[in-house]
Amino acid sequence: MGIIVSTILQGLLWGLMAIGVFLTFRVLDMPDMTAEGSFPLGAAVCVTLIRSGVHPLIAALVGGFSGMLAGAMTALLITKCGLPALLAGILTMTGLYSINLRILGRANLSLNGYQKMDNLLDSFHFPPYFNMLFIAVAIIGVIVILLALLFKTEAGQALIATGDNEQMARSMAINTDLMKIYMLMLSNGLIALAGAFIAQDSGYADISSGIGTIVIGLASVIIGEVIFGRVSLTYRFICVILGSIIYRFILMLVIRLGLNPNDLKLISAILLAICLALPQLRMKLKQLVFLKKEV
Amino acid sequence: MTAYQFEIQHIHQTFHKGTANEHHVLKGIDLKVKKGDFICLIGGNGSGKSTLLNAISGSFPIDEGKLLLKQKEIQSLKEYQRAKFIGRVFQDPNLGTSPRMTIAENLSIAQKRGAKRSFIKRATSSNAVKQFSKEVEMLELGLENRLNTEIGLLSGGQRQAITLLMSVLQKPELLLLDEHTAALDPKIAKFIMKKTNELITKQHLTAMMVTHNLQDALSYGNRLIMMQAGKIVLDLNQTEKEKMTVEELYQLFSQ
Ligand SMILES: Nc1ncnc2c1ncn2[C@@H]1O[C@H](COP(=O)(O)OP(=O)(O)O)[C@@H](O)[C@H]1O
Ligand SMILES: [Mg+2]
Repeated sequence: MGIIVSTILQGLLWGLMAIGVFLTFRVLDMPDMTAEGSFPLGAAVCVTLIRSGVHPLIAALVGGFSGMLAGAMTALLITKCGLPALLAGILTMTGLYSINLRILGRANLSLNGYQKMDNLLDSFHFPPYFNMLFIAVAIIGVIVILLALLFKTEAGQALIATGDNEQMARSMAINTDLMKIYMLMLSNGLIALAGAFIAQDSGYADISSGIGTIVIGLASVIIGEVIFGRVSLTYRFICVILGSIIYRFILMLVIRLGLNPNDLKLISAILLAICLALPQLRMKLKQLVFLKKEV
Repeated sequence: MTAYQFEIQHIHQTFHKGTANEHHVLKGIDLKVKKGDFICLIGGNGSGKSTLLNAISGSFPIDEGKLLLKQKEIQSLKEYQRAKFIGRVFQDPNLGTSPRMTIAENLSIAQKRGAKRSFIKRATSSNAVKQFSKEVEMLELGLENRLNTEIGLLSGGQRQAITLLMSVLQKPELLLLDEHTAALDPKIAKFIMKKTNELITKQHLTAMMVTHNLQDALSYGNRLIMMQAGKIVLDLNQTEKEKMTVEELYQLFSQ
């Protein structure tokens, strides 16, 4: 029971990060590597603030805000300096490693003995993991609803159009550079917020926690796509969260099967490679079957 | 003195300057366009027609010259800023619409061209959709019943019809059409051409249309311009155009 609840909780929290990755990779159609730096940035800012006595919710929000700044940095490199998106993200991510180290002061900073988000519900005496689960469901639910509403507004539609057909967006008088800045800020804000929540949930911030975030995020996005197919944007957000939860269950099973947790990143990468190759493989398989029939 | 709707003053454009591939594409283009002019632009492949339209709409900063829209200089404005006044339809039907968005959503994007886009207001309100339905009905393609269909699922001709509608939904000061029927099969191309003419004359739009169809160039519009190697070599007004036959035009074209 406990393991299932905790796996769902992990899926939810990482799902928020995956939504951030979804916004850049899928909606904006831009491979943004900033995520690997903004995720630990959110964690580092949040943990440091909590340790200096800031309320855990406010600390998390400030963590998210710091991610927006990181996203803005990458966006400026792309739109004002003309760098390719991939390189701009890598530059920000690399720079953030030093910044994160400065914020933390060392590689790993614990929240042991400090007030965290889940302590806010202590007086209800819920079973373990449920405090954080309720908080996560509430916060992520609100975020998904707000995102769904945002992308239905006039400006939200301009954000989508920029990712879908930039030439059309520009010829419809949309400032596509500004839209990219907004999207990268929104995306990295959510990713850093997820970093802050996950740091509170696990009880520490770690300098290397960003490694693999993009693979995890993309895996969630693609599992959602493979299982739930082509749906409207609102449902896509929910599918990404569900994809993230499924991904966590797969990882849990893999560990249960006795694999070494140190191999998790390798397993994640292989999992993603398989998911990405799936449509291609399916085609090949079809061709193979088709050819056999011909003969 | 009449005020011109749009003026091109001595535009030059060279690509890959200072390299072995240096290519002087526009060699001093001058043009004065009156309000309500519907200009057909013809010329051989590579004569610089698309480059001229791209220079006007701001796809790249021009090397030299001025662009005056209603006497205001626009050559230093960015593409998206010029798009407030300039409507465009491209040759490639994929370029003019957003494939993952529905017909209604695409039209709502077009309806807000040049206006502020709100972070609060819903893009496809029921009122807006009602209006879109009426506009789309004019296209006579039955698309008014498919407003919630993703554009990516439509045929090239249907997409181009929607793009055309989008380019005039907010009345443009200048409409630029670049061989916008060239990628379509002859039947739908003819239909789109007819609709284009209807929209331009009904709304008294000022338009420049590139076409490779000499008959269309003679049948439509009130002025005909021919380009050769980056220069305007022929400029016919309405009466001169009416006297011209396709054969004569072809003679000039192949010189
Ligand atoms: N962005 C560009 N960069 C380099 N060369 C270009 C560019 N745009 C157009 N050209 C060149 O300019 C010439 C004129 O092209 P274009 O204006 O498309 O001709 P047209 O539309 O009349 O057929 C061609 O030789 C083309 O290769
Ligand atoms: Mg051309």
